[in-house]
Parts: sequence; structure tokens; C-alpha cells
Amino acid sequence: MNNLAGKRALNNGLSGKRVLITGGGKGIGRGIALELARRGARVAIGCNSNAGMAQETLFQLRELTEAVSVQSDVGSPEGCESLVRDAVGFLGGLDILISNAAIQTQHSFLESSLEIFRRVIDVNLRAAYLLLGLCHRYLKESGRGRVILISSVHGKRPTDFDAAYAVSKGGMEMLCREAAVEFAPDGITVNAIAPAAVAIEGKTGNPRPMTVRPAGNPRHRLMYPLGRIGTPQDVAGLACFLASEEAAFITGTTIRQDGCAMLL
Amino acid sequence: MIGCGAERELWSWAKAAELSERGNFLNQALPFSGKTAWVTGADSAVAMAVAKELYRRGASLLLSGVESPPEGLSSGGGQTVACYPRNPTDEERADRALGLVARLDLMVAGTRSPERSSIASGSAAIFDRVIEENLTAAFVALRAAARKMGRSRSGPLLVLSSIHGDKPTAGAPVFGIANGGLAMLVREAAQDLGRFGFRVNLLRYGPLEGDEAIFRSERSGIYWDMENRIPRGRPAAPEEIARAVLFLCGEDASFVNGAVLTADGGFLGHYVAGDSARRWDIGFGGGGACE
Repeated sequence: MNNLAGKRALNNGLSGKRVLITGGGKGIGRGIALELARRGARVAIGCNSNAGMAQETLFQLRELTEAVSVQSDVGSPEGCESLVRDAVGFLGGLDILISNAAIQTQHSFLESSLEIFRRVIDVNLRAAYLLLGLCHRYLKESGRGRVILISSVHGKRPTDFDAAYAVSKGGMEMLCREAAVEFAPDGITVNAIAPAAVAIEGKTGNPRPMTVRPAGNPRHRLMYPLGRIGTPQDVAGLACFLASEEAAFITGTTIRQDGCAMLL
Repeated sequence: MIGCGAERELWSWAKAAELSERGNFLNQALPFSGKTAWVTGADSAVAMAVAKELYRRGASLLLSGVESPPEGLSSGGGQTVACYPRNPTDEERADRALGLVARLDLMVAGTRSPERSSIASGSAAIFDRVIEENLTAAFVALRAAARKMGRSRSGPLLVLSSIHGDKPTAGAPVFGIANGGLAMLVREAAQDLGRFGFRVNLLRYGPLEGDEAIFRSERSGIYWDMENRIPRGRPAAPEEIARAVLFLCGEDASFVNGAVLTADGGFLGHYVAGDSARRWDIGFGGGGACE
């Protein structure tokens, strides 16, 4: 799994960088946390409902680097505040913010409700907005702050099964652009990654069971020209690049990372 | 399944009948006569202009966001005008407004409420306020309107948005975020409601008179020298946006669903800040006039 780091001595200048990743206990967030740790970054992961998995991830992280796990609900403003306070307290500052935590409830536009809509917007979108605000001064102090928002191809293309989720990601596309413009004078770059399906353990907030089809499923040939869906390692590689010195002039952009699935 | 013999024939026949009916519809002097339109955010200039155009073309109105109808819009001659003072930021407000009319044929969600702020000094209070007014209200209005219309009258639903669903404001970030969300809201609703015959579209409008004051920012040059960035050399009149809205709400747009139409007079086509500045010799890092 870690051949990305194993084959490369290069750490992209990420050694010693202080990173906060929300939703870092599992899935894409976990993949990014582990890859950054392999490259020498010090990592704080945020978690809420997946505290058990976050604990496992933390054990793995601690074999690689200094790491901490902070439990909080980023759906509430207080949760965002306590997360940043505890993470920055542990790291002694912040160089990289990765806003990744999200929920999917899988309700189409008609199946949804105002309550579901508000909760999804709070966790998936307002949290990212508030974390950017709360972390701004630390990222500015860092001198080369980096923000990476984990969005989705559904920030552009409708899901037809999760309206509130797509709305939150559409908003995130604009959050990325607004923040990039606002934070640019402070040397902070803000970018977003828009993956399509990623093979993870299960989605938070999803009341319906979801089967993650193994890579190489013949059906994926029709949907994913590369013959497989994405993996957390794919996203982690791009996140490490965006966090690196090489990406210093990339800001305000959303990179679609879907094996060109959205072109079909 | 369309494609084999008898079904294809039946389909062509139905299509021809529909087109001929549409022709009659187009010939009417008052194409919205007998229809009731719900316009939310009627306290904003563009939504009010939409309401006035619909009224002029025969529609009865339900206005959310105003206490009473403005001058020139009154009940009589077969047309009615009802008002509800609050925008549909929750279901109760939507239902109360819709309780004022017996039927509904089309809806235009027009709330527009930018608020100057920054992300660095942002708060949950600002975020919630701006998202509620601009994004949640559209979510509620689309669902409530579709419910009220039902399958039998499934009609056009339109959401008014801004070029700031694409281009950052650099001074009113949550407004930009809300408009980014609106684009996806419309695409989702177009899929789900489209199956019942509804059409859900988005109209993004660009600079209006006074937008320089609302959006001008020291972080971005896009509203700097605004009029010279619009090829027409002037911002839009709200009535011009309203007529584009009426196109999307009318039968001419019968197959337009989930679309985003931008009405900005070409404003977003400009290149970078220095370009128009050099052309107009107003000094942006030197350069002087280029004729």
C-alpha cells in the first residue's frame, strides 16, 4: 500500500509540516494522513462518529510520526473551534489544513428534508468555511500555508441520489475560489480535489448499506475507463503534491480526480 | 421504449399534437394568462421585474418578501396579486405563502441577499444568515412549489442566481458559496423533478446598477471600472434579466431542463484586471492608452 513512499525518498518538503485533517480516521482522510506521515509531516486528525477507527489510524500514524486524534463534531461551530484549538495546541502551529470530513445521507431531492439539508450543509460546507477562518492566522504565520478541500465530482455533476451532498460540494467549489482570492496575499494557497467513487470502508451518515465494489470489477470498464475506481492512496498522492513546494503557484482550482469517468 | 413501428408512430403523432398546441400558445397575446406564478425574494430588483413582466403578460402573482403589491400590480380583470412578507426560508413560511393561492403554475425563486464579510473573520452567524436567505430558501421554495403544483400541472421552476456562482466575489464570500450551491441544487432538482415533467433551470445574472458598491473589493479588480468591462458599456436593467427569465419559463424552452443561462452582457468574458485598465488609460501599473 505504501509503495508511493517506499519507492521515493522524496518527501516533497513535507517533513516537519504541521497538518490538520478532518475526518482523518478513515477513508480518504486516513489515506492522506498516513501518506503525509510517511513523508515526515506531523499530523492531527479530527474524528467524530468513527472514534474507534480513528484510534486504529492513530496507532499506525504514531509508528511514523508525532500524531494526535481529536474528537469533535465539525457540524457545530463549537466543534470546529475545539478541534482547531486542540490540534494547534498539539502541533504548535499549522502549515496545512485538509478539510475532508463529510457525510452522505443518500436522499434524492424529493426524498430529502429541510433537516437533512441543513445538517449536510453544516457538516460538509459550513465546517470547511469555519475551519478556514479559524486556521487563517496560523496558516498566515506559517508563511506558506496550504489548504486542501476534499470536494467531489458532484460539485459539478448531479448525483440524482444525494441532493444535499451535491449542493454542499457545489458550495465548496466556490468556497475554494473565494478563499484562494482572499488568502492569496498571505501566501496561502487553497485548492480542492474532486474525486469520483473511492474505495473506502463505508460512508459516514449513510443509512443504507453500500457495497464497495473491488477494483477490477468488469462494470467499472463502462464507468471508469482506467478499469477501476479511485483509492485513498490516489487522493493522498494528489494532496501531497498540492501541499508541496512544487504546487506553490496553484491556487483556487478544483482538480477532478476520477480516471476521466466524468468524461463519459 | 421508442424505436419500433407502432410506438414510433404513436410518438410522432403525440409530438405533432403537442407542437401544434404549442403554436397556439405562442400566438396568444398574453402567454401567461390564467397562470399563477410564485415569485420569491420580490424585495429584490430583478425578482420584482420578473413579477411585473409576468403580470404584464397575463399571470396572477403570489409574491414572497413584500408586504403589499407595488404600484401598478393589482388584482382585477381576472388577475390576482397576493403577497406574503417573508421569504420561504422554512417550510412554514412557504406553506403560508402558498396557502394564499388556489393553484400554482410556475415559480421563480429570486432571493438575493449578499453580505460583505471575509472568510478570515467569518462566523457561523453570517454563514447561516446568507446561506438561509440565498440557498436554503431556494431549496424550500422548489420543493414547496413542486408539491403545490403536483404532477398534473408540473411546470417551469426557475432559480435566480449570480455570476458569483462561478466567479468569486472577493468581498462577500458566503454569497459566492451560496450561489455555488444553487447551481447544484438546480441540477439535482432537474433530475428528480424532471421525471414528473417539471423543468428546473438557473439564470445567473451579471452586473446591475449599484453592484460596484456591493461587490467592489480591494482583493479583486473585476468590479473596478465595471462599465468598461461590459461590452455593452452599461449594466443590465432588471427588465432585461426578467425577459431572459420569461424565456426559460415559457413554452419556447420546453426542452430546457437543468440548464444554467448566464445573462451578464459578456462581463465575465473580460480577461485580467490590467487589460481593460490599459485600454481605457486609467493606469493599472502604468502602460498608458493602447488606442
